[in-house]
Amino acid sequence: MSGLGAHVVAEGLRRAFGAHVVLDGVSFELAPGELVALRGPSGSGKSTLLNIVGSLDRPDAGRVLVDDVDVCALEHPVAYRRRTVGFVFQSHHLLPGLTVQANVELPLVAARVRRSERARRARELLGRVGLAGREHAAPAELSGGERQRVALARALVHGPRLLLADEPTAALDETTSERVLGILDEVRRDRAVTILAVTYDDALLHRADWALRLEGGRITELRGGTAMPAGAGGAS
Amino acid sequence: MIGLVWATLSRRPARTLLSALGTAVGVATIVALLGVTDGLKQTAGGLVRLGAGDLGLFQKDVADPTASVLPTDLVAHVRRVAGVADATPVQLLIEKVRRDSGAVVFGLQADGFVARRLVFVSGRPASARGETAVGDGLAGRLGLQPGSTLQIGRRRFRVSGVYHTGIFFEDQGAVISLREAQQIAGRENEATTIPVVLAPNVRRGDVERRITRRWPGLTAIGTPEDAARAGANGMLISKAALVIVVLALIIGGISVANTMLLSVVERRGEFAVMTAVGWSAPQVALLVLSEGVAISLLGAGVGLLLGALGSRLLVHALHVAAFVSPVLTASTLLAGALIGAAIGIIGGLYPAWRAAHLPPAPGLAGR
Repeated sequence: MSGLGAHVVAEGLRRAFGAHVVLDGVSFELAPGELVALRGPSGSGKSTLLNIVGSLDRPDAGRVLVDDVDVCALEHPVAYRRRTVGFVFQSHHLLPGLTVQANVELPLVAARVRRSERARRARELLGRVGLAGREHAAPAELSGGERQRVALARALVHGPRLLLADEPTAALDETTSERVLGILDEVRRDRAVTILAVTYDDALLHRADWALRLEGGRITELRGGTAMPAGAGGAS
Repeated sequence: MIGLVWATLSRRPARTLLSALGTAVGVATIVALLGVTDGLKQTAGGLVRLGAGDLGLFQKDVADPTASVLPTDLVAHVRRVAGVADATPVQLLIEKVRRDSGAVVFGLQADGFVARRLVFVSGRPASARGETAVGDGLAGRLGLQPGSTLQIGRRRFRVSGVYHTGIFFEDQGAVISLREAQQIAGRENEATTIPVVLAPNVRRGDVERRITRRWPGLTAIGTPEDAARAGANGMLISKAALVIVVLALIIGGISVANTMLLSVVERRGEFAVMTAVGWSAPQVALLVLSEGVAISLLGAGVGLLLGALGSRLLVHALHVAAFVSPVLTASTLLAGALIGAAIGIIGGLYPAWRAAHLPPAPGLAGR
């Protein structure tokens, strides 16, 4: 993987579902290696914004440039998702029929990585998130915090340059949350991965280089991380 | 991919098994029917090998070879065809043995090669009027021995001997004189078939062509496949098998498609995650299609077993077990497995397409 995170520029993003406008002219820029916190009330378009940046959804207007490539215009965005993006979903979204290791290997299966190499990389990541020895467990056998760490391992196993995380520390106890945040710190330090994270967690907010707040489909605040007071942003 | 398929199918074993059962029934039906059809072919093949002849001549385009009617004076003309070493008339009597309706009675000329080739294990050939020789299979089933009596049609015959030829039809049947057989059939100077022995180093095809060119109303049967094709009944069975294959593909395909579609709808979130982590649409489609094929192959495996049992039940249910023995060849079993795979592919195509084209964002949001 590249040692440099992705450079992301969002320009005038607009997305509506029927008459409901979810994003209305959203623009921002993420420098490589930055951790940016995304906040806003429910229904303010945070997940939609992550989906568009991750090319899981297309905007009605505007564009997202990732390293100068408009990912909204890609006819086949699979390669972009496979090589550049890692997703951490709000509710883990682990596949229940697969073991922990098989879940982590999913991106590598898509990339047709050899079985032995897949297993090696998955085990290595699971070790880093503190789940060594749980490779063959089913997701149902794990605690919420363990599942979130598996989801994080899956998001990082293919060496992405841009991590899109939807409340990665939600519903975690303080210790587990700190562990997840430590992993995010590590990937920023070691790989300079660019991270855009939806969060209501003050601990994550304080680690962010800066934060933006969405409300009514627009960015209503754009602040430097160190200037962001604890509790700012107003989770609903 | 195999691990993913197994994980999905084993997660809902009852649904997987029920769906597989839909395929199994289709495959079992096909295997049973093909087994019986092959058995019929083998049995029909016995007709052309009467007296270990090389060819059997029958009337062309009759519903069944046993319904053929030929003039006996044709035999002398056939004997003069180049490449023919011998020919003899045979009158077949079907369902005339009261105690065993499956037994076939052969009316033979005493000096014909078919009669000459009977090997007697007890007693002697039937030489007088009112005498019959019986095959050892029929003798065993009915407890017959020289001196016993056997009713054929409305007449009682005395058993003169018990023979064995190694030809299924003959060993399960009985032999009487041609004249008496013609009388019972009500066909004086007529025969059902004319078995032919070819001269050494003569090609069967050449003689067949000579005979059918000279007598266009005849069909020359040299192989079991020819025998099955010669009769309209054989054709009917083959066409019925084809119809059932098509029905099995449609019904099995619908069954698999129904299960797979339900599964795809339930697993929208999973497919969305897979798309998000880099799976392409063809990869997702291949996964779903593989699941469909795996279900069908499981069903095909069960279907092959059920078909093997079903073919035996079928010949008993049709009361033809006495002279039709189901034949399950490797090609029949392979056909069953291929049809099972085809059911999976047909049934999995649309669900695979649906899964590959699900928009990921609603799936991730649980919509």
